[in-house]
Amino acid sequence: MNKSKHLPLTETTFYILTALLSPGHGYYIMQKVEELSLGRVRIAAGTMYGAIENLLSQNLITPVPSPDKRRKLYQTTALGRQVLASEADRLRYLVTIADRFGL
Amino acid sequence: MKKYHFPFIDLDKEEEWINKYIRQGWRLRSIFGLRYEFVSKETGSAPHIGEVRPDENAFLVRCDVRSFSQYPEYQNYLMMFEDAGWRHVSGNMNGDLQYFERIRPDASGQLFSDIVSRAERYLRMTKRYLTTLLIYFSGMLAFFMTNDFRVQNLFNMKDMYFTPGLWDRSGLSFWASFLFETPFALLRGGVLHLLMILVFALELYAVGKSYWLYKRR
Repeated sequence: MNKSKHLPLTETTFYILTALLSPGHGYYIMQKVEELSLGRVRIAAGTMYGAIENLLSQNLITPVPSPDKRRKLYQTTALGRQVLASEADRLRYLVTIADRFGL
Repeated sequence: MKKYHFPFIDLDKEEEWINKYIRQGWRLRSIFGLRYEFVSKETGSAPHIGEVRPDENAFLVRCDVRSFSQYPEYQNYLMMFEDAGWRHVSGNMNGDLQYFERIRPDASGQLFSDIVSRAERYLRMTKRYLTTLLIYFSGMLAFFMTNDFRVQNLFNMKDMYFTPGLWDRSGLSFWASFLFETPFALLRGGVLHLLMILVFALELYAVGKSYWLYKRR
């Protein structure tokens, strides 16, 4: 499966792909990720731009038509969604192991 | 106030050189060539957006390295930074180095939140320097192949003057001919070759240093 080369996801990537399940532009992602992570994960502007470029080249996100000419919109692709789902399964399983060992 | 300065390859040094003035109460208004123009924080003649509550990160300047082939891409990039609270001070679509000034309190003091993306600036810089070096090298090669270079000529500059009997002259007659022929003599002696080699060495240094800065993180 071509999903496996994307796993495991870094925490930041997991948040970005989740935030982009509905379309958003760069700054929206930065805000959404900070909100979802309760302030723990803050992505700075330069890092954000680079991350978007990376995810685009891996086809995990794709540009979508934007009403604002100066701000591009992105959304998680079907592949991105699959990768997220696999990662969520992996994390859920890790949690059961943690519970089993009383961690 | 205007300060003249040759930008450092080490971006941390470059940022620190500028931010030293920021901490003294200046803001970077613009950069034109080697001229860095600062304005006083109070006069407010450099634009800012909304209310800027002073904190230790106010008006800090940070650098990114990026170039673009299409203007809409560049606009998208600049817009993302502006949304995040960074005003674009200097840089254009093709020129690598982009300077940003922090204008909103909630933006962090850095453009990068992880080591890898921060280091990748230098990788882009290295690529840019390498491209320049290769183009320059092919030009230099063409020049060297069509213009002979003999090192001994550099030590025999007198022989590079072809004006017959030049060195037997004196007074105005000597100086007029001497000054006129000097540029040509220098070219014959290989000064241009030397200069080209020097520039090549500098560019090679730039490639090496920026790559080392990338590897060092």
